[in-house]
Amino acid sequence: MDRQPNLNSSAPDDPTESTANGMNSPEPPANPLDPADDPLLEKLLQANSLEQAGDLEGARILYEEIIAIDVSSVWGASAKKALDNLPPESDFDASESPGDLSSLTATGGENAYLNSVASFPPTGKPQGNSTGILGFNWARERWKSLSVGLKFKILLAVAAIVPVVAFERTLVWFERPVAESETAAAPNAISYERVVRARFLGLAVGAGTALALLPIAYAIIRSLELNLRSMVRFTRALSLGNTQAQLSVTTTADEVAVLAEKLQDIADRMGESERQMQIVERERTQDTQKQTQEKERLQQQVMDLLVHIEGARAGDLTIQVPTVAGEVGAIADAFNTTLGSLKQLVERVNTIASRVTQQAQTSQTSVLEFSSATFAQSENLQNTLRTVVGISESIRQVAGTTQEAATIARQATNAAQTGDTAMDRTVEVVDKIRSAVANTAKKAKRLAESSQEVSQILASISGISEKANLLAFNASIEAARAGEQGVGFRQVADEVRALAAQVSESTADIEQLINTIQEETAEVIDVLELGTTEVVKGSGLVDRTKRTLQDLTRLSQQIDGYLQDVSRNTIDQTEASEQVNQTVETAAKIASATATEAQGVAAKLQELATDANTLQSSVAQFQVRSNDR
Amino acid sequence: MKSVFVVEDGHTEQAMIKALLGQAGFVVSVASNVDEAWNWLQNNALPNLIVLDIVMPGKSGLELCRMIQEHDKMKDVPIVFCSSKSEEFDRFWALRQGAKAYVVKPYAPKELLDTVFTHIQ
Repeated sequence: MDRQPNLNSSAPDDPTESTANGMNSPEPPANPLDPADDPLLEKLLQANSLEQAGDLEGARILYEEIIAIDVSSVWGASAKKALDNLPPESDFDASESPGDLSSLTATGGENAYLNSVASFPPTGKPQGNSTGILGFNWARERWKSLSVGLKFKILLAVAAIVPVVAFERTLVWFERPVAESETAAAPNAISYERVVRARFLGLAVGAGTALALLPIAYAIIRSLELNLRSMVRFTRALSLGNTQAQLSVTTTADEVAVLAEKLQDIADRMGESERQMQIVERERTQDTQKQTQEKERLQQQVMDLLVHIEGARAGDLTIQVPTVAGEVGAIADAFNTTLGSLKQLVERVNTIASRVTQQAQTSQTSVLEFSSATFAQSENLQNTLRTVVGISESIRQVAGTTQEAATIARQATNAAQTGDTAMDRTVEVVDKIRSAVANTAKKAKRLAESSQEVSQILASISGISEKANLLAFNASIEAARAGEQGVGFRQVADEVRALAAQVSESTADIEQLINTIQEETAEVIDVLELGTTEVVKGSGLVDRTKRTLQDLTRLSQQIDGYLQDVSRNTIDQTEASEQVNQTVETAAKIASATATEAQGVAAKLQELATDANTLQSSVAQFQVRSNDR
Repeated sequence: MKSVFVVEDGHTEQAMIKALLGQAGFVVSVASNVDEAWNWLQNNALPNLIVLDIVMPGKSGLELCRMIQEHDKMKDVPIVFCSSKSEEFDRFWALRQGAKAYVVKPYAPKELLDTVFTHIQ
């Protein structure tokens, strides 16, 4: 249930509004606050209005009604208190004679009160219906309030009158049927005369009886009345507390005498018990006085204790309540013990609070340092992040460059392969050159050999020509001796010698030529040999070049493979560097957040320090050390 | 129109105080326990007088009286205790907490009204 309706305000002229519905209230939850719904509350309000207006009598009646209906309720208790507080009613018993019996007075009061209740029935019955009952009640109460003697007198009078009247009425009753039956047959005068006679006779008998009985009855009643009055006086004296009163009656043996004797017995016993009561009462009074003193002492002790406790409430924990004897002393002792514990607690709290303050301050410094370090770390991480981004970019460039290098390597491989093919052809050509040079050298050697043979032949020819020259010389000599005969011969011989000389000259020329040929052949051979060597050398170089080109192809392919790897790796690296990037970014964010949180923690520590200070100042209001006096 | 704030756990007593004070021309607000009352006092215009029961479930009226006395704005509102604790030191102790008067239950209507009229601001 919403609490708000429990706290509503209501204007005084709005009796229908409900107020707080107490959770623990034993009353039914139905709205009990509407005075119109609760006749007792309504009556109480009416009574209060009347009392405020000065109509005390009206208020009294209403209060009494409430008490009569329910004295144990809140309304009843309140009404009773109000009734007790009303000023005493001066004319309340005015209608009663002061000399009446007290019991009658009480009964009259009770009846007046009951009648007043009856005149304000809670159900609101119409007043008119009870008028007859009231008249009867009044008569009954008046009769009850009459003295016994008067009652007897009245009874006697009635006893005297009733027979006469009864007799007379009986006659009339007896006569009437006779008169009616004789109306037709006999004259009325005769019947009437009989009736009159009978009446006179009846009256005479009645009056005579009454006159005869009256003095006797009066004497008895008078005696009874006197004795009763004596007894009434006696009992009244008794009721007023006079147990010493003596009762004397005029008779000695009848019931009245017995009654008087018993009353006297009762009075004596009452006197005895009264004496005992007085003793008991005295003892009780003493007890009460003692109790009152004890209570006052206790109250005083409690008030002292409360004053001390109040001092402790104001924060002074050094208070020591004097431990007097008795229950309050026990409480004071317990209070002192409690206060001691509280003092220890406060001291401990104080110590801890100051330690907390100190530690909070220290921690705050550390946390602030940590915070700035974390900020620096965050900054570094930002730098790292930038570097990583740079690296990532470089890697991307390397990847691009690697791709280009791979292309170039592939082109180099192709070029090397082309070179290899060209080199193969070159080798072929060189081989052909080498065999051509080798053939040429062979032929040059053969030419040299042939020229040597020619030279040898020339030497033979030269020898032959020398021999022919010698022979011609010898033939000329012999021709000279042979003179004229020999002149022809000598001419021949001269011719031969000239021929021989010519041959020698030609041979010498040939030899010269041959020598030149040989020299040139030798040079050619040398050149050829040199050429062969160079060709061989060139062939080797070509081979090496070829191998180099093959190596180059292989290397290029390897490079290509490596570059492919590099390319793949750079892609991986790019991904990795992106991951690193993200990681570093996250780390930077975390570091930033950590720094912020550390600042928050520092703020909290500041608050903690403040709280601890507050706690310390709160605890400081407790005085835990006595003031030096 | 003057207002009275009543803190009382008993339904019937609540009804009676409310009716009596209402009849006397006061605006009456009611709470059934100390927590409710404290909440009300903090959220509403201060009344001209507070009637407090002492024995209630939870915190006692004495405690509420001390809370009010320690509050800067509320401490000047006069407090009348209305309790069935009738010992002399109950009255003594209640008045020491800063109350203006102490009415013992059961009370006559006039008694309560006279006390309220005497002390209301």
